[in-house]
Order: sequence, then C-alpha cells, then structure tokens
Amino acid sequence: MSAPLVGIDLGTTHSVVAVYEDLPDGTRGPRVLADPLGHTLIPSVVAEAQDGTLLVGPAARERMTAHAASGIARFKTEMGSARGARLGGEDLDPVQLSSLVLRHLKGVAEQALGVDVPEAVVTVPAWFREPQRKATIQAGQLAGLEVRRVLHEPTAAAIAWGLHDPDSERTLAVLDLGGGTFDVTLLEVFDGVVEVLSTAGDTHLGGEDLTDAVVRRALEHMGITGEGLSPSQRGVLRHRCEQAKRRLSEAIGTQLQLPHPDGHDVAWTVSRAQLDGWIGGQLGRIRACVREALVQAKLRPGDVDDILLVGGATRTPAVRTVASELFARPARDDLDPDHVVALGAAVQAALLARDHGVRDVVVTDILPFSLGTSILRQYGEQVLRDHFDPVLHRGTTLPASRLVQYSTTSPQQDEVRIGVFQGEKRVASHNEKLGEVLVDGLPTHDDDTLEDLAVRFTHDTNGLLQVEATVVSTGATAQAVMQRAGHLGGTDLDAAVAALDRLKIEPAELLPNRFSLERAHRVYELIDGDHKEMLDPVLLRYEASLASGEPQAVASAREGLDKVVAALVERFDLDLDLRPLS
Amino acid sequence: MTPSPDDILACETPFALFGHAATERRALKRAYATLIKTYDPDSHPDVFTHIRALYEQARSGDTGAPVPEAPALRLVRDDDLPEEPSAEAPSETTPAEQLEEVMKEGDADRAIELLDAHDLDIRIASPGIWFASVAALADARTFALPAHTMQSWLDAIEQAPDGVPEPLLERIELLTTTGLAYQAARQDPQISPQLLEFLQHWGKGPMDVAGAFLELGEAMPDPEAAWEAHQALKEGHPALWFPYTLMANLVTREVDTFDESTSACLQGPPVQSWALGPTSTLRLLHRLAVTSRLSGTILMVLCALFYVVADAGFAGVCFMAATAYALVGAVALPMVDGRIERANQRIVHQMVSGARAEVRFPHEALDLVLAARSDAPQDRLLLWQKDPTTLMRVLTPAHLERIGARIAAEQAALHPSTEQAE
Repeated sequence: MSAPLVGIDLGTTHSVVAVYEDLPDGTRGPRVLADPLGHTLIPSVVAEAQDGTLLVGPAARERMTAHAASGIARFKTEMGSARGARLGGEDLDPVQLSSLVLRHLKGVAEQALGVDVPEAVVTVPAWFREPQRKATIQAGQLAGLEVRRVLHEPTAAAIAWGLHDPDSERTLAVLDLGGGTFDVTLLEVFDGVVEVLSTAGDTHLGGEDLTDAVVRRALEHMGITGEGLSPSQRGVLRHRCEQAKRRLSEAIGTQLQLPHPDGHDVAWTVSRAQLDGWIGGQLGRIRACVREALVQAKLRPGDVDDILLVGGATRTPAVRTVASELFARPARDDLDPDHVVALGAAVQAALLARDHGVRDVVVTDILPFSLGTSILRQYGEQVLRDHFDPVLHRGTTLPASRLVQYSTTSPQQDEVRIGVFQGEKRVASHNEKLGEVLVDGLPTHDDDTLEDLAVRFTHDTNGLLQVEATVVSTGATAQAVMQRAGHLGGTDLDAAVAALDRLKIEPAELLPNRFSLERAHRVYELIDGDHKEMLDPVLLRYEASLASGEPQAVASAREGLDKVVAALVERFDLDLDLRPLS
Repeated sequence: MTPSPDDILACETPFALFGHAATERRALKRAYATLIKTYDPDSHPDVFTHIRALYEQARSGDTGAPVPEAPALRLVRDDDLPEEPSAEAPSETTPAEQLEEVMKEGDADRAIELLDAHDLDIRIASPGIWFASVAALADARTFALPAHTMQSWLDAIEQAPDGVPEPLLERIELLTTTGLAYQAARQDPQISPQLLEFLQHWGKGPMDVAGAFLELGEAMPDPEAAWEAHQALKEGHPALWFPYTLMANLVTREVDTFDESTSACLQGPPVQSWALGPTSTLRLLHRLAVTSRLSGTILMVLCALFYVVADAGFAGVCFMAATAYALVGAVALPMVDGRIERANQRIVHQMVSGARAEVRFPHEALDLVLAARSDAPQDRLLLWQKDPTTLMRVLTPAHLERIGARIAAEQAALHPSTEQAE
C-alpha cells in the first residue's frame, strides 16, 4: 500500500484528520479517522501533566478543564506571532504548539491506517495572511509532515459538498464559524468544477467569542469580576457557560450553576433570546463579512443557491437565522459541520495524488489578498511615496501571472528595490511585506530619459510567488521567489526540533491511559467527600499500575477505574464532554 | 477532441477557443469545465491561465467572435435589396454584422427593426449571432421586445438547423417564450390560448412563469380563464400548484373564495379568513362595518315604528342614535373594502417580487409548507394561524423543486402504481 495523503482540519478548538480511500460501499471517498478512544474531533489543546509530561488532544483537554493554567488552547489564532506558552520547561510558540497537535494527528492517522503518513493537506482559514500560512507549513514540517497544500477551510467544505453532486450548477455561500475564526466564501460549482469566487472573514471571531459573551454575563450576574475566581473555577465557569450555549442550540432556555468565589454555586437561568441579544455584536460582524464577500464576487444575495454552514458554532440558532436572512435561503445541514472541512481536505489530497476517484473534479482557488509593490506617484507638484500598487488583485483565480510596467524616478537612478507587499491598504508599508527584488546596474542618463522596468508577478497554486523584473532597454533581469513553504532550514530547524525533543511528550499509544487518568482526576474534583473516598482507592491502584509499567496491570486497573468513573458520572449527572464523541 | 496545449495557447479570442459556446453562458461553462479537467491548474498552470483569461473575457461579453463571412451575404435575395440605391455608399456589412454593431451601440429600437427586417432563411443561415442578439435584447430590455418579434423568432428557432448549440437554443427558447408570455399578456389578450400552451410547456421555469402568470391573470378579463390557466399550469409542474393557487385567487380578485380554494389545496377543513395575514384585521373591520350598517338600519326602523305607535319621546333619541350607528357602518364599509383590495394586491406583489429574488424568509419556511401537507387538519390550521405570510414567501425554484419532489414521493407512497400493487 502506498503512503496515503491525508487531509487535516487544524482547527482553533478541535482538529480532524481524514483520508480518501475505499469505502465499505465499494466506492472511493473521504473518511474521518478516529483516535484509539473513538474521538474524531481531537481537541487542539496542549497541556502539561502533573509529572511534567506534555499531553495533546483529549487528555490535554481533560487536564486543562480541571486546571486551566496547566495548558493552552486557541493558539491557532496567534499563528505567525511569537505569543505562546511555557510548557514542559520550554517556551513554545504557536508554530511549535501546532506542530504538537499535527504530530498527534499524524499518529492518529498512522494508528488508524497502519502505515506511515508522511504528507498532508492542511486547511487554514481563508483570512490567514502569508506569515500565518507559512507558520502552518512550518508546524507541519516540525511534526514530520510535508504539507503538500494549504487549503482554505471554506473551499475544503465546498469540495466535500460539491462531491455529492459535482455536475449540478450552483452558487454556494460557505459560512465557516469555527472556534476562533470566521470565514465566508462564495463558490460556484458546475460540471465538476469547484470555483472560488470571493472570500472574506474575521480572524478573531468564533464560537469561543460567543462563549466569552456568556461568561461575561455570568460574571455580571454574580456581581463579580473574573479576577475573584481561582484558575480552576474560571475553567469550570467557562466550561459550564460553553455547555449552556450548546444546550441553547436545542432548547429555548437552560439553567446552570455558576461557581462563586465563596465556594458555593449560584443558579442562573438563561434563555435563547438572551443569548441572541448578547451575541448581537458578533452577529453584526458576520453580516459585515458576508456583505464584503458578496461585493467582491459581484453577487446579490439572491444569486446564491445554497448556504453551507461549517464549524460547530454554526449550530447556534441565531447564527443560522442570520445566514438564512442574509441570503433569503434556508441553510443546508446535510453534512456534519465539524467534519466537512477535513473531508474536503482529504478530497483535495486525492486530487493532488491524482486518485482515479476524483478524476473529473477540478478545484480552482483565488488569491485572498492583493499582491503588489510600493511605488511613488506624482500629483501636480506633490510626490506621494509609499503608495501600494496591486499587481495581482484579490480574487484573482490561481495560478495567475501579470506583467506591469514601471519606470525609474530619476535619470540618475542606478538601482530599484521592488518591494513585494500583500494586503489591501493604500499605503504600502501598512500591508504585509513579503520581500523585495533588487534591480541594480541600471543605465544612467544625462538627459531626462527614464528607464522602463517590466515587472511580472506570477503566483502558483502552492503559494509560490515569483517576481521578475526586466530592464526594458537592456533586457537584464532580476527575480526573487517568495516561497510560502518558507521551510525552516539549518539552525532554525535544528533549534526548533531540539526544543521539541527536550519535551517529554505522552506517546500516542498511551493516550487511553492518560485520558482515563485525567478524566478520573476531573471527576474526583467535581464529586463530594463520600464519593471521593470511593474513587480514591481505585485511582490509587491505577496510578500505581502506571508507575509499574506493567501493561496487564495497567489494563486491569484502567478497566476498574473507568467503571467507577462512569458510575459516578451517571450518579452526579456530570456532562463532561465539550463535544459529542463519535 | 481536446485541443493540444499549443492549440490552446495559440487561441487569441474566446471565440477561437470555445467556438459558439463563447456566446452562451451555460455552454461556455461546460466548454471551460471540459478543458480545465484536462489542463488543470496544478499540472498545466500556463495552459490553465490562458484558458482562464479567455473564459473571463468571454464572461465579460467580449467573445471576439468573427462575423459570418460570404454565406450570409449570399443569402440576401435580390428582391430584398432596395430598387434604387441610396445616396450613401452601399453597405458591405452582413445583416449579422449590422445587428452586432447596433447592439454594441445599445440602440435597442434599431436592433428590433433589424430583427424584424430579415426573413427566416437569413435567421437560420447565421443563427448564432441572431439568437445571441435576441437573447441579449430580451435580457437588456426586460422582455420589452414586441410580441410579434419574439413570435417570429420562436418560429425560426423551431426550424433551426442541427448545428446550433443546444444550450444556446434552450436559453433563447426560454427567454423568448417567457418574454413572449409577458408581452402577450400585456399587449394582446387574444393570444391567450397560445400563451397557455407556452406556460404549460415552460412550467419548469417557475419564477419567470410566475411573473407571466400574474400578467396573464391581470390581462384576462374572465376569472374562469385565469383559473383554467392555473389548472393547466399546475398539471405541468406539481411544485407550482400550491403557491400559484394562492396567486390565482388573489390575482382574479376572488377574495371571498380564497378560504375555500386554499383549504381545497390543503385538502383539509376550511381555514379561517383571518389567516390571510395583512387582511385579517381589515376583515374584522369589514364584518363590524357590515354589522353596524345592518343592525343600525334595523334599530332605526324599530325606533321609528315605536315612536309612531307609542309616541314615546325616548324612541326619538334612540332613532337618532341608530341612524348614527348605521351611518358609521355605511361610511366605513367602502373604505375598509378598499383597504382589503389594496392589501391583497400588496400580497400579490410581495409574492411576485419574492419569487424573483430578494424576499427574506426564515429557514423553517420549507418545513412549514411540508408540514402544512400533513394529515393532521388541526396542525395545518395552527400553522396557518401561526404564520401564514411565511408560507406565502416560499417561492424560490429550489424550494419549489424540493416541495414538488416531496409531494410526488408522498403521492407515490399513498397511491402506489398498479405494477407495484401487483
């Protein structure tokens, strides 16, 4: 069996891995892979256990729910920045943290498939800028995965949807409200072609922001600030608010117990209408993004045939209502919003691998941000510097190539530095600078003659941007390649790998053991004294068996512990799962 | 056969690459999809970029299509030429070229003149540009082409040679037919039978037909004929049945029969008239006004009799009060009726504008419609009482098709075919 190419949805709160393979019905298609615990939604969480071991995934989430300060989540929204956390004695940036999640997902895929998984297609929000995309690829590299393609999450969702009926002609709006980011992408599907028309989004708007809104109101209800709560209480408060928000997706009202600094719980009843009011600001931002995407695609709401909702936060009724109202269409819910992105990524992986199952499908993507250069412009007597001149406009279908002509500003000018920028701001330096091309040795002139330069921007589907400048009079050329892959090399890579190597990471095969332990700890903290005494000896036995390293002893002790924990969960009606388990 | 990369890169205009498909949106997409499946963005970036550039050019309306050459000129018969040459130099352009030129200039009146001026042979000989022009004109002028122009083009389409791309024909047929339906309804009610036939045939384009049907209903003086058209239409497409039933009743101003026919559509018990939404309050007022006028008049007569018989003073006061009561009813009644009429007209227009695109409705609307067809009469009634306007807004083609499919499935389940029964 050849090495499979998997699709990974590296999400803010949860990640999913899928593969394109033979399905039980005899066809080929994408399938979501589960970890040994049966989870398909792997929490994008890294936490430090009591013994200093780093946990990733479900065990980390268990640990962090009970000990909020012990780990970190939502680091995806900080991709491309240096903001990270100190865990396991090392300062880890978002790239390294993401690499730990990707390594975990790689392990999940390898365990499920029984073969090595060296390559993957990884999805990112469409609104990610170049540094964030590069950071994602670097995270893959650190995890031992070659990222063959960075795919936009909404595009992935549309691919998964489009595969159901590839020959129909539809215009789709994909609204992806994940844990921490929001994207809206308009696409056209016809005759097996999935074509992105426009995309817009907000990198700091997601389901977690909706939870934040509930948490703020909960604190107001108790008349306290968050500082009065211990880290553990804050974790519990957030968890309960999150659960309440989810329950309000099904019910019109719910009750929850809020942990008070004094130690007692405060009962609080919230209604769906209240929630809708609290998240009004976030809904407004969703509307603004949708309108922007429509303007970019030159479409009216009525031109959209279907709305596809992606991301768990789109289960919130107010979000669905906003989507339906904006497009005057009911939203489709025939694909699981949590899995659809990973499924689409797996299809894209199959496309790259030229799998025969997707021979008649073509996906075209667009440039999410304009690419251009900094120029000097003259208006009357005024000379305006640092003016951004887009060469490849946002929304251009990839691959794309465009030639523009510029001239020097003075006859005596013997070199030109062509800055390459990404963004939509009028002032070039306000955009993201990707690099520059130096053209030197220009002929100088004593008269008023200026040199003409032909500058070509070429952008391929893998994010590789080539900028080539030709001096028209001499034919001399200079070029630079701005490779998105921006692979870490030499000392950078060594340093990053060394930092990760110094960490003590829980092996994937021990995940069930660690998960049981962390869950038992969490339950222990939630139950009363008498029942604690019931759980304590079983937990002690399990911890001892783990220390002994005897597999049979561990298995036996874990079985006993799981039974007791399950009984206690039932007895206290504890709702421990943030997400449904598959 | 798929052209080679060199052939593609040598193409300088969309027409050179896509042929006649460049002039028609759907055919263009199909041709584009076929090409990029061979030359996808990953494996053939250069070829794909070129195909994409020409595709975008064609979509912007610049097809770069060459004008037909000699054959079109030769088809102009001698007796079509003016007997005396005009003072201007004789034009060497073909009819298609002339039309193209006029279209570019945006002179729609002149374009219509040209469209009318040439006989069927010429139209059939160079159909691409002519058909594209008539389609573009129909689009640009929102179906304001004269009915006879479209009718004659429809005739030409029916006799078009095999070489004309089918999608192009289909689009022109649709545009021309629906345009014709509009115009016919507006201009010439006498062609209604023909219109009915078109509506039956083209029932698959619900939004266009909805508009045409409204025009038809307004144009037809006889409500019975409108009803017949509606019946014919719903036979053509079951999904059109429910909303158009509502429309038919409103359009023909048979407001009083609305409840019965609606409930007939729902195959359930009569629905209260106040379920009509905007007219419900008005209907209450209507009843009050009628009651006031009637009871006031009766009281007035009784008081007068009592005054004459008993000569009681208070009877005179009562008479005055009853007169005022009856007068209020009599004055209010025509006002309320006028409001009812306008409200119903507003609903019709809302429905039609909704059908055409922009209406907002909650996503549970489809479920309401489907639930309205449930077997529990009480549920249906409750749904109508709850939000009748929601039901009336569900008029998008996608929904109609889904409803149609659902209805068909339900009917199939309720009435299995003979073969199945056997």
